[in-house]
Amino acid sequence: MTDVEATPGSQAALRRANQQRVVEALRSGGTLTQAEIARSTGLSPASVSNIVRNLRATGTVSVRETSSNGRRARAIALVRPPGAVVAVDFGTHRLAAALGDSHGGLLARETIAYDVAADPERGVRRAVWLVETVLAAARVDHATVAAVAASVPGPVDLATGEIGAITCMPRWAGFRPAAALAERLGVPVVAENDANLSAMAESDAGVGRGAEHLIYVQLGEGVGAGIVLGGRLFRGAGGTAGEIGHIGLDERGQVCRCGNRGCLETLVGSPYLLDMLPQQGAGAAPTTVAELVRAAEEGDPGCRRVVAEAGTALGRGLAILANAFNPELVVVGGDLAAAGEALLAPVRRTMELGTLGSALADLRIVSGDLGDQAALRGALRLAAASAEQITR
Amino acid sequence: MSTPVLELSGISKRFGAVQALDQVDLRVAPGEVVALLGDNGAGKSTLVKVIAGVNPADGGDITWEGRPVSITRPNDAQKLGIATIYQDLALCDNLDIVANLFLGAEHTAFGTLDEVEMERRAQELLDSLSVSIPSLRVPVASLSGGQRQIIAIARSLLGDPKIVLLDEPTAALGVAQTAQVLDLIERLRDKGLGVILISHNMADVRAVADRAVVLRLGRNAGDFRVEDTSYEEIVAAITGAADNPVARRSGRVSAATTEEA
Repeated sequence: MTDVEATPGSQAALRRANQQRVVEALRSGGTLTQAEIARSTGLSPASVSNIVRNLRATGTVSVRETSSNGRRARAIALVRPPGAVVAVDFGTHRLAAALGDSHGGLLARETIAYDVAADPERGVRRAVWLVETVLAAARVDHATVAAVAASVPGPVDLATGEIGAITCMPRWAGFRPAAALAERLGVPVVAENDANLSAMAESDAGVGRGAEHLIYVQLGEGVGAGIVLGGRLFRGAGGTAGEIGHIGLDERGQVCRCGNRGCLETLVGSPYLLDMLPQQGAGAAPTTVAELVRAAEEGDPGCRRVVAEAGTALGRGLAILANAFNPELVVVGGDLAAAGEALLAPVRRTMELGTLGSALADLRIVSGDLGDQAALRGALRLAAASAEQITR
Repeated sequence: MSTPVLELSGISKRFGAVQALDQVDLRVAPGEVVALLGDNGAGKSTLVKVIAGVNPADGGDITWEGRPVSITRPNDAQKLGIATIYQDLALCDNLDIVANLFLGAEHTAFGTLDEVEMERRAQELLDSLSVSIPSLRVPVASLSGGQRQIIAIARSLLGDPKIVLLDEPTAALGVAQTAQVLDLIERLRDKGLGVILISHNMADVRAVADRAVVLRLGRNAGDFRVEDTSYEEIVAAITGAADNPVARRSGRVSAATTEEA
């Protein structure tokens, strides 16, 4: 694209605006014929032809002779920068992939159930399949993908890209998801912790818009937090900041996989919560957190108790964070966050008992806006940011 | 690599003037997923029919676990342990899942159908494949495309096959359903079965297959380990891009120029 400064309203400015319109049409439509571009932009076929010639000269689009309804036509496709980005979200039992534009906005998304925790190699292989499937459905060529970001439920070492040893996916310990994905996709990949990405997404486009200091808590198999301070993500020295699941709360509690007793995770992690439920009630006990939350909403006393106690434990953990960081907003996300006030009310009550009054005065505790898409949205933004760095 | 369960060598098949298969080789080891790829008319379906015994080969050898066998009828293939699932699945829409699974092989007790035993075995089978279907007593018509495919595959497993042939199992399925079928293929491999997968979808092939065997115009056009092979190489073998007059000529030209240089 030409980068000539043009006075507003001039011929040159008009030409640039029209060119931008063609690029936008191609960005949303994938490969189009010249006639289709003219139809979708409202420009005359002659000016589309001129603009395409200019774009082709600068290498922004590729032109291929084809036929449409039996007549000769020229298929135009974007080649370069206005590049697409891809996000992959590894959950323990779920895989999601999304295609985004160069600003990290969501264009297409697919989620499948998959036993990701069982085997990292297979998880990556299936993730590549999901990415290819999403790209194929959106008619976006592999080669136009500028960058990929992956969200993983565990701490990612900043220097090596390795997953930490204590996570809810033990078989992934020491695995390098970014390197494995990059090898198969042929595109640069960055990996980041899911809570960190969710924190970024909620603070950019979710409930945390405008908040300077925000903590996002991810409730799943384990507990993680993404900490945004002064508008920037706080990663810590090695990238493991926010592993709040292993705050010790009860020295006589259950032994945690980290080797300590009574960690926050043993009080709010989903396997622990499901284990607490009585097995001999009428009908089958809930087997997922989503079912647990639904049963609590319908008034099942055992499930309500479990949710409330999880809220109390979470409140004790968050009180420590609030004292240390004095955030203005705590966003609770993950499956259990769907319980809403049934979870958040006990959180607030407990925090009042354990937090400095001044730290609590400006603190709001809410559930996230983006739901289970938060990590994926954050990953799209991260991919867009890393694509910008690559092209610079 | 362990001895192949099924090995075809030099298989030829002619329909009148058309040489559909010409000296085709194929082998499948236990616990291996082999994708059979090729353009329309490359001979994939003919080869499947040869293996399934529907259309016996004119020439060539078939070895099963190291010993030569002949497959002239579908029964022969079934007895050896080859299960074929065709695209149309051949399920009875009006019958429930259990009835479909045991169609033609119903269990009886005291002269009547032993529904309890059949349902127990059906549940056991689906559990062993980690397939969760809410009720086994719903008519198959009410299932999704992916679930129907899974039921069809599960039915073929009742005969304890060693090789499962899948003809385009993911065509016309949505993303989540395709993922379910791919999961099932992975589980078949984990159980030590050999799988022959016919597919036009390269993403699916790259997601589950160990090897990709390419047919072109009735001949072998390549046998690739999927892990080490790029998408482009496989597509080139399917389309014959590496083997046409233009490519050969440019190969000669570049060879000539390197000699001069």
